[in-house]
Amino acid sequence: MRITSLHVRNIRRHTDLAVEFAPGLNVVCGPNEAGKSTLQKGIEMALFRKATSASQDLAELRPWSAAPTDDPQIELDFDEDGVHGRLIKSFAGPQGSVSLEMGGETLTDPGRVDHAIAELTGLPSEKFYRSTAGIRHSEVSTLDGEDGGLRDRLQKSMSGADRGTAQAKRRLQEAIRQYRLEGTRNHGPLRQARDAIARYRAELSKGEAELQRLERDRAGLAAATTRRVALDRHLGEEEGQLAHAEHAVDLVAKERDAQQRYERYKRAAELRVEIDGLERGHLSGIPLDRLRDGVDRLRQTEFDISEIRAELASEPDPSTYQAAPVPSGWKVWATIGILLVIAAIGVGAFAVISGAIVALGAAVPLALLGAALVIRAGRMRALAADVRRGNDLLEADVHRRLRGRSERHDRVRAAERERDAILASVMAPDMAAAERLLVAETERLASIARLRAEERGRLGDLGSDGDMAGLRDAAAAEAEQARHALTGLRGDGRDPSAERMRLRASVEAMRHQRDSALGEEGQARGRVEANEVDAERVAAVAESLDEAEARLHQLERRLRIYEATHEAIEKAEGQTMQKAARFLEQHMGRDIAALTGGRYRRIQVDEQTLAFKVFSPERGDWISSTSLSRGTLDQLYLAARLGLVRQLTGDRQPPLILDDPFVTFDDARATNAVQLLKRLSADFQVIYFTCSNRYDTLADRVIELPEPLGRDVEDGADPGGTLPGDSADGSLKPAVVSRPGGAASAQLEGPSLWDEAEPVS
Amino acid sequence: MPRLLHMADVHLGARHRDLGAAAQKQRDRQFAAFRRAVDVALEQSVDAVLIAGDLFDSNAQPKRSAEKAASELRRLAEGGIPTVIIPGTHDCYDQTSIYRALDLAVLAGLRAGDSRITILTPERPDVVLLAADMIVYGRMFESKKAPRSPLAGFDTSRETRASHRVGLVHGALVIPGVVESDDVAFTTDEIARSGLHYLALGHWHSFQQGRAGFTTWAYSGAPEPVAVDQDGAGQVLLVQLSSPESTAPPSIEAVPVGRTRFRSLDVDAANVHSQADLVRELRAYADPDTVLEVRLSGVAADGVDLQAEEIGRELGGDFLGVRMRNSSVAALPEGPLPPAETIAGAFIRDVRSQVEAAEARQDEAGAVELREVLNLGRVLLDDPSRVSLV
Repeated sequence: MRITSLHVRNIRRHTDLAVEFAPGLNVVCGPNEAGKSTLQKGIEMALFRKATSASQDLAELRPWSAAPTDDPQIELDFDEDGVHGRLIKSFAGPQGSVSLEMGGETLTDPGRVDHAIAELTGLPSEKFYRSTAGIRHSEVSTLDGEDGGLRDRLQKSMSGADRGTAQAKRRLQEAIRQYRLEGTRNHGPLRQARDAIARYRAELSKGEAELQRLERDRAGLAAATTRRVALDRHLGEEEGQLAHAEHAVDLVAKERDAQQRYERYKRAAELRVEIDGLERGHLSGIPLDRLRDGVDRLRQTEFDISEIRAELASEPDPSTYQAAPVPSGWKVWATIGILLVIAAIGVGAFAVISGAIVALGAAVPLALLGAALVIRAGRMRALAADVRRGNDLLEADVHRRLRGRSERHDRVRAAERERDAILASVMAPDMAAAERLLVAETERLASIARLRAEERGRLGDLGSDGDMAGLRDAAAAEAEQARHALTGLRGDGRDPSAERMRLRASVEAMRHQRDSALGEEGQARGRVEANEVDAERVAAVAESLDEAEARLHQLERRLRIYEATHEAIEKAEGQTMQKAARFLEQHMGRDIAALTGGRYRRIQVDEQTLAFKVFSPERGDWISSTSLSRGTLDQLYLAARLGLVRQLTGDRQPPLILDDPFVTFDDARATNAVQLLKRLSADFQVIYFTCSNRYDTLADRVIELPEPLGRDVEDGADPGGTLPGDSADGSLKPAVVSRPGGAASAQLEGPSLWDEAEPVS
Repeated sequence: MPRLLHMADVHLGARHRDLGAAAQKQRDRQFAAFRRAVDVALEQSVDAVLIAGDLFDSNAQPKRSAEKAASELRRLAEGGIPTVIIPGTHDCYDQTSIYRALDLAVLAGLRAGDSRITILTPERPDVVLLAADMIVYGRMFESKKAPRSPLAGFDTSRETRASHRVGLVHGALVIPGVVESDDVAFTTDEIARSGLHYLALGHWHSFQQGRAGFTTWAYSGAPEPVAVDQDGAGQVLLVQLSSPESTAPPSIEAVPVGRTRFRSLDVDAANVHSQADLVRELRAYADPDTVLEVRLSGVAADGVDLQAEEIGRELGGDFLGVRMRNSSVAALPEGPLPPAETIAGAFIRDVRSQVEAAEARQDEAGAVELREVLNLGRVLLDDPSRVSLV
């Protein structure tokens, strides 16, 4: 493919620029900021950018003064094996359009156009172009001759993009290393995930075991509860049977008791009949106590009567009583005595008064005589009084005796009346009859008492109240009832007492079992309650484990992908490098010979590193390319670099676009390099952008871009200010000078490069 | 007429093995939903609360969990509302049953056998709630897998102990062509023959209701979703029974109590320009109550490397939980390929042939991985700085 012309509109400073190219070596020259990069960019955009691209860098291409409708547009005319083609791209973001006319056919579908251009150029992408047909100015100028630099740059061409594989491989290796890191301190994500999984698994296993134990314990508890409940039920049944047996035993006792009571009531009833008979046999109808009292009183009365009568009979007769005579004459004697005393007193008084002592002697005997007479008279009076008193007492006694006798007669009569009344009250004619009556009644009552005693003895604690016959019958009925109930209970014919004993033992044993089961239930409950496993905590561990496993799965997957990617890149690298090495060895020998004036003719290319070795006939050995001179090395690199373009693009021969890669070369070095391009231009159209005119002589066409007259924002240059010559809208329409170069007269040395010569090596 | 609160499938202590760190939060939410259900019962002064199985997620739940649940039942008991519970399939009435090991009534501070908390079992298959003139039947077995239909031969039409007849069953309703069998399964014909006025069902986590013959049945759904795709979960049912003489069905009102929502998004990887773009778009759904499941499918755009784990991590703080399911495959290169003589060209051709070989032998997982190898290699060869590897 060879570009015949390029027409750009509204790209940076070029609102409208058209240039024409020769099929061979074109040199586009101009000073800095003259728009060389814009033209270069225009070619690249025309060939590789989608018209619908919305990239920011495309938006920045528009002149700042352009109208909204002034979209960047590029028309590129080309020739492909004599067939003219025209590619038009209008960049308007999503509204961008494309048109490819060739051989009478027009394509407007961006995808199909891209395909067609890739087919024409052998360059599938802009990046691929950059690593092959596009050679930047720094690519060769900074080549330092180191093997690594050469290799990397050539490999970059080989990569299929604009980068080598080293960085990709390094990143993959580093990622793989990081993933697998198992240092003592730092663990990679794989190890971390595996450790976490192991930790979670152990924890989960423990937790699940605890949960299973909890379930087992709960099952154990349920079983223990079931057993205890069953035993409770069984025990209840046994206790029921025991109660049954106890009831039977009670009935037996009750029947026996009722029978005994029956017997006792029966005898009591008989006694009652006897007692009733005796009681009905009362002779007088008088109660015994009254009768006895009556008889006692009769006896007393009879006794009293006899006693009184005896008294009466023994008493003296009061009619025989006589009073004693009372003595008298005390008064005469008393008077004489008193007179004598008085006479004595007179005589005495006389004697005293008369002094007749003889008289006094007469007075004293007289006085004494008088006193004796008085005393005698007193004694006589006292005796008379005693006699009278004795007579009074006798009289009173007689009187009393008379009165007492009368009273006794009264009493006898009263007693006799009382006796008669008592006899009447006891309805006995006489005392003897009363006595007989008393004896008979006493005997009757004794019989009754004896019978009653027997009755009491018979009845004992039963009490003697009530109707004995009724009680007897009731006891008989009770006994019968108990016998009847017992008959019902003794269906199995077993002895109730024995059965009770057996059941008591059985219940006791059953209680023991139940208590044991209760204990087991308690233990089981204790086990359940002692298990502190937290299901939610275990759940959280399980969830964390799942998460960790998922993460490990992801990590392992990523690692597999990284390893597979690394492996595939190495494999692709190995395959392509081998081919490239062989291709270069086959095709570069002649170039080496030409470039080194025949000094070196054979070349070896390392298929691992793309490092060059040339055979030195002088040394008779292979020497590294780093031993070659700088200029030779440049040419060698260029030859290889462009050789790879040929290899990679097959026979499609895309235009080679060089952004002044030889800018730092001195003239001789640059001339050598351009001579190589010149030879190459037989097969490839070459467009070389430069500030220098030193290549003009070898160029088939020189396109000169004028000095910038105004502000140019290209290449990030500071626009500074508005310079003279700027058009009103800030755009610039440079005067392009396109003229033939000096190639017509230039003599090229050596054969054309890549003319399918026989391999030298 | 009696009013009931019907719930089921609370699944206290459930494992959420796909929720990772959000699992504990979800368990807390399940309990909170249970608590809100109790609040609803108290606010509405219902005549009874029915729990149709799977109150607990397993029989291995610790006593502490049972105590927590019992403390809520105690609130009901103190409010004079009886609770009737049947074991389900997760907390089935086998020998390890939590209902055998622990007495919820006792844990609730009531005496053993208190009629305000009743666990129906094969030994105690029904309970009469005199105040509501209602009998509640529990139909279950002593094993997780039922030996026969729980409603086989079940007919309550001659019941004389109470006027209103309500059943509790934890199992699956057989729907020909949809649900053919389950551990516990029964048919609409059996429901129709049961003579029940209302059949409170558990086992399905989404709300559903229907009528078979004279009997109205309903699945309350889980109060809080237990897994994704449980759009019908998140509520309990308030059921107003009709007069026993009436043929009118009970009225059923779903009352939301759950908070967690599950949102599933299907993302066509072809429309994702970059991982950052996808994260930005998913963040638009940010909601702390939502568990977001993103299913990436299709063919990823050329050169876009989507790391599901990284996306999940980036979005973790915006959602209750994020689950990324990446079943997308990396694109095979389109358009002009680098020449076979280049490393990239050889790499692409080599790996692509491996992809084709894997696809030919129907090794889908291998093919997906190889596509990723292809994509990664291309990205790395193109610009190693575009992708983060560690």
